[in-house]
Amino acid sequence: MADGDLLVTISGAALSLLFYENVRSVGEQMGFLLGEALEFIVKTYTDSDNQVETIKIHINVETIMTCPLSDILYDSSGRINKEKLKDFVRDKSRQVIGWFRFRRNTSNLTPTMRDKVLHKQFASHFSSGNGCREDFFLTCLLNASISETRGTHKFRHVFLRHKRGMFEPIPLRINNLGDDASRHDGSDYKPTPVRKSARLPDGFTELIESLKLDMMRKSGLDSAMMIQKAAEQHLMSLIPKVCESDLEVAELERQVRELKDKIMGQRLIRKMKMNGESYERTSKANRENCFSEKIDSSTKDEMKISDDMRLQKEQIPSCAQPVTSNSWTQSRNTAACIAKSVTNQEKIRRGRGNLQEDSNQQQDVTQNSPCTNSRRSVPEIVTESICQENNEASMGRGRGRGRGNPDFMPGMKKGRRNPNTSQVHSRERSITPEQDFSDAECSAAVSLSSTVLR
Amino acid sequence: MLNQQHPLLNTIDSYIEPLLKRVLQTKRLGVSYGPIKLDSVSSSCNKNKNDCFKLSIPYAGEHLMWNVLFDSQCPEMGPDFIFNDQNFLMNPDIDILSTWVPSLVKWNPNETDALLNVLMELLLYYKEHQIQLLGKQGDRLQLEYSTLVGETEICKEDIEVMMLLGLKPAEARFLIRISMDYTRLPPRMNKSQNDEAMLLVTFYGPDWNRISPQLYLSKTLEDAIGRPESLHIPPLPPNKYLMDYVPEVIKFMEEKINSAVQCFESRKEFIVFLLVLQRGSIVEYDAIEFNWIIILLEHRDFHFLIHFNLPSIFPKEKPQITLQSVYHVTSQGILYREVLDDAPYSPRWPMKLMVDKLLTYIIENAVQKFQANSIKNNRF
Repeated sequence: MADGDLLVTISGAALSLLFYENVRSVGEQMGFLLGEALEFIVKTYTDSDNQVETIKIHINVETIMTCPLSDILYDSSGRINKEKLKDFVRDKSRQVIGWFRFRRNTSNLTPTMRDKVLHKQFASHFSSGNGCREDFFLTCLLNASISETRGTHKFRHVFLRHKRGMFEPIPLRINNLGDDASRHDGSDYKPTPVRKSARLPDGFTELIESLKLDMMRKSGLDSAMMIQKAAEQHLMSLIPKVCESDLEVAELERQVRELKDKIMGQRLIRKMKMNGESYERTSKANRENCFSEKIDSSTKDEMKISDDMRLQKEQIPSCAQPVTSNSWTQSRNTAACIAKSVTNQEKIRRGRGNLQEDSNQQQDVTQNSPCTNSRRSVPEIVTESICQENNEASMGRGRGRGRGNPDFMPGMKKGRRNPNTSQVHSRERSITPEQDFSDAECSAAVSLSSTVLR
Repeated sequence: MLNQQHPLLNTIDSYIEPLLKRVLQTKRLGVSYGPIKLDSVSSSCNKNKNDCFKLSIPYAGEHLMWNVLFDSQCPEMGPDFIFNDQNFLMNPDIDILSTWVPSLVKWNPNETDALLNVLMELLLYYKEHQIQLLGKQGDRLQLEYSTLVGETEICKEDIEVMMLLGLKPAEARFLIRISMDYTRLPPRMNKSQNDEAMLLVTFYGPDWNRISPQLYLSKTLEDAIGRPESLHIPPLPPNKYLMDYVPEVIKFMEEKINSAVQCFESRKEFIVFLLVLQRGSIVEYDAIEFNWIIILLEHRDFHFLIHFNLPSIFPKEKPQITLQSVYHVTSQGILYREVLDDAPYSPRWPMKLMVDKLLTYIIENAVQKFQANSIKNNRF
């Protein structure tokens, strides 16, 4: 099979989700690519009437799944923990067609030693489950770098597969909207894959069907508007859930991080070989902290202040607070921001439904006064976020990558995907005030099709 | 002190710093003598503390550039690597990797030696990788390596092999450490580092039948036995094998060391006799390496200095004798001096006779002429 017949296809929404998830992570990030490898048989006739069949394989990435606590999946040498991997991926296992790794501030997109080791293990682990061939398993490497003047942000990516001991790049094609992910360039016929796992129709299709549109009677514009409205309602209904689960995830991640920092700090102290009494006191104090369910930052302050523990005083801050807390606050703000922007958007839409000509004007107005008379405000989120921020400022890292206590995993898995898609879109739309209808339809469709997972 | 040598070290995240410091302090990793260098640093997340860096590791006369990637977000996670040699660990297997690099499997960031151990194990694995490459390049190189390890005293740890297949023409390099007893060598000034001798043999051309050996000596060893260019190491014809050649080089080196020791003893003896015979007139002399001595003599109320400079291969080469007047200044403003060329000399003379003959010649023949010249050239 020629290389030209192998393609990675991805929808714009999935790609933007991938980038978004990476950009908002503090440092490195890894995760899995979910989708399906589709096989097409194209029959062509030569001049001498010979029928030639060519097989084309398109690996379609439908969505992604980030892994915030990657260190629980593998150890330092890169050996994966299959049990935890199964726990993490759960029912998505059959859809995993690849994995990705994002790094900041690197110039080259070469797989590292651990990447190669992981790829092989992931490939054999997931290929046995979904029947996809091992050499079609993907590695996607992404990086971001900033120019010297910090004026240019560069994002690069490459899709690789492992074949005969080598990593070779595969071209990527970004699909247009709709279900024509499989369409070949320049062909009007839509080929159907030979083998496609029977799955439920995606969210967008479901939505369209639920509307029972009568295309013959209604004008295209009205239909588009209906679709958009429905999409937005769907989106709106998702937002509270997303906010809730996102906050929950963030909180759990924070706790995990805190506990981990404590463990690290404890180890360091033990290493310092303190004199007997103070050593016992610290370890006791730490143990108490570790077991206390609700982490109380005042205990920590106490520990730091205790004056007979000079060494500890030096050690704990260095290990327990290695990162600033902006990532956490950022994510909190994101939640609030979504709430705001979405309510805005809805208002705009409503306005537009009534007075279509004036919609642009009204949009401007609402844009200028974002918080006033939103139909459904989410006040509890906003207030909560403020006080949480204050608490956070002295503590750990917030979300992005984490370091994990496996016990927290089930909670973290919940609803990770949905938040992100909706966030992407609400944001995107809030910055483009002048939307025509095709755009509206497009963004609604995009956001829904990428939530296909749930 | 190390922080001053490596200003980049201060920008490294605090939990990595002790590990890296330990690596940079290491004098030797593998055969090549030379420290590991910290090349460039960067951060995996946008913090002001860096957690990724590039190390330059000496190996077989080359420098391996290894990117070491830590993650400040996961301090308990061990380092990841990108090797400049793409062929190394191109298709790693987790089980094989774990057996070669056990320190990475049981990574403990609180252990200061953790990174050093991982690097050492990886370097050993790299060597094994190169030896495997060597085996794929025909019998000659494989035979050279196996006989060198099996038939000579050279042990595996003293050989580093490197296949440079990307070069035109492709090269195979053997770096062999010549380990011998350097303590016999006479004491030297500025002996800050240890003595080291390396033999770098490069094979190239069709069937690897073009061979060029090169000897590398550490600076202090160069001072003791001469620069490699002037040493004229034995030639290595294509039909000779390393297992025969390397012992030859070792023997050659031993001879050089012996002669250096002998020369040192002769110089010492020469100076000792001068000290004994002219003990009242010694101005100063080199009491460590015995390279020179200055005495002050008087002949018919004319005082003059005699500088004896003993060459490193004394007594094969005669000492350089310089007379210097204490009264007469040249137009340049320095004391008038003259090199004595025609003093009688034979390397076979016993030292006592040599010293006697030289002094007698100076007093009886050279001084009058020197005195006359001094007065003639006097500026005043």
